[in-house]
Amino acid sequence: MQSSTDVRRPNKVVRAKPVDLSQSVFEDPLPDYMNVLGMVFSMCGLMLRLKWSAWAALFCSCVSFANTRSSDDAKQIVSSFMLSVSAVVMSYLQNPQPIYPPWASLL
Amino acid sequence: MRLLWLLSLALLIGVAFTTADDFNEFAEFEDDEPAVVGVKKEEETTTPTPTVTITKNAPKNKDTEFDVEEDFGLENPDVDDEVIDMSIPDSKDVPELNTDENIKAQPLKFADVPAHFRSNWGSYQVEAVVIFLLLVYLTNYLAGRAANQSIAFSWVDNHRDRLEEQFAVVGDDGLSETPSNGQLNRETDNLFSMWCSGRVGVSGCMVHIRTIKRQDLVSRIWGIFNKNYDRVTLTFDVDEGEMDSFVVAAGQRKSVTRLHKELLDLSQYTTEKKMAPGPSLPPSFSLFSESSEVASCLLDNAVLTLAKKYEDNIEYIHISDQYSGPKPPDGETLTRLPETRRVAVFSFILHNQSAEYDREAEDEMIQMAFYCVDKMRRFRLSREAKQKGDKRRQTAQELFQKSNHQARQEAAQARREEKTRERKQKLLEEEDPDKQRRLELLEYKKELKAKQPKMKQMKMK
Repeated sequence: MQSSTDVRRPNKVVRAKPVDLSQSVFEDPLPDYMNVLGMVFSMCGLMLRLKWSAWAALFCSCVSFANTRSSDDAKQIVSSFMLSVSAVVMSYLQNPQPIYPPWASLL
Repeated sequence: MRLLWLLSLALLIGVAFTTADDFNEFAEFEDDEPAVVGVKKEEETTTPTPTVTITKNAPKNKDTEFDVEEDFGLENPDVDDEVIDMSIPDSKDVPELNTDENIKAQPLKFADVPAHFRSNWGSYQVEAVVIFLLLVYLTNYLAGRAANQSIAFSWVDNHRDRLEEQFAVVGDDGLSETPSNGQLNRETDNLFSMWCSGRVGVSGCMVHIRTIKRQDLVSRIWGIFNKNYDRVTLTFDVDEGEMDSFVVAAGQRKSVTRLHKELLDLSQYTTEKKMAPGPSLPPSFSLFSESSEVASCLLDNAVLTLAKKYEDNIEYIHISDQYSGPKPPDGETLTRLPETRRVAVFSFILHNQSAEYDREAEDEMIQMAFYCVDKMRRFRLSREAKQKGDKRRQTAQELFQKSNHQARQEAAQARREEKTRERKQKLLEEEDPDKQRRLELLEYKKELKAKQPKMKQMKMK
């Protein structure tokens, strides 16, 4: 399978172009889903004072961060984190009572 | 004297209530809840016996009061003793006072005020679990990211020589003035890409190394149930005129079937084909091709032997002159003909068995990719197959244009209606009657014109 002649052509070099991953088979919609889900959870946490929802939002932001494309805007990740952290802080400032653990009834 | 007693009693009650209130306020900052509950209980036990005679009831209530007072040391106990002593002989006044006391000394109702979080960390169990999970996620992220990066870099290190044999530039970042070398770009934390260029017959080759999402704990746990592997994909951009018009894909059944569903060119031009008698693909492979001629020529003995040897490592080979990426999602239609490229895609699975075996296997597979590309460049379809292929492309294009034309016509009709609606709205809003009349006339003329047949009318003599 080895070719004996040199197949390299230095005069034919084409420069690399940035690839749009959203148009390729490598497209990964997970970070976008997680971003939206995180936003929904933070809003629930802020508006309905659901503490578990605020924590879930923080977790969604983390998953979104771990899967994000490096070409994406960092602002989106930062704002998603800010929103979820503020949801956690606000819900505990309002009512510092801990979440009632589901296993408490078993003890 | 009696007045004095009354005064001291009133003072006492007043103090008792202020202290009770204070106590209530302190309850907010009370550390241990059981103590609060205890007081509550004490209060509750006194309430169910309101019918007990006054003389019996009085000292009880007082005791509770004094307990409270003594806690805070606000009253002189000597005075209290005197109060009790004096209340017994004088029966006329006492009942009045005691009933008053009864009303006011109702069981204290403690609001359900949450304890401050600094004082009872122990009850924040759920929060502790969540924070622990977040920390685990973070450490896994850092570790997984480093692992992915090392896999990608070691792959490039292992095969750089082979790639440099074939390309003038390996690993161009596209940013520097002169083409750089050895640049591996990180697209995401589990996808790395490298651009190679400067070879006969192809304008370039994009190497994608897609590892398992080790940086994401959720995907990692998901991966336990749904086995996933690290993959390397070589996508060659073939120059114009270097390949005939054909589309073919072969590889592991699951992957190729998925590609056939997802990719526009495969679903449009290919059907599942059986190999001609003789040496064939491994049983776990399937073949989608435009014509069987292509398959039998491209998948020759050398490729088939390698396919058998590395059955688990080769995911798919996809060669197409009409590659236009994945299909648009359901419900969406393309507004213009998608741009097509001539590509040859080779996807390999890395099993990470042993360093030596992997290196050898990968090297052979890369060589196979170059062999296929060269073979594809030399390969020419027979006249019949070529005619059939060209006709198929023509029909596909016409079909697209037809459907597109219909869609465009609908859009134009909608635009026209919108314009008419706007004009009529303007007419209605016009305040000047003269102007309105003129506009109305114009509108009427336009309508008449629209109703007229669009053909040229000839007068018959």
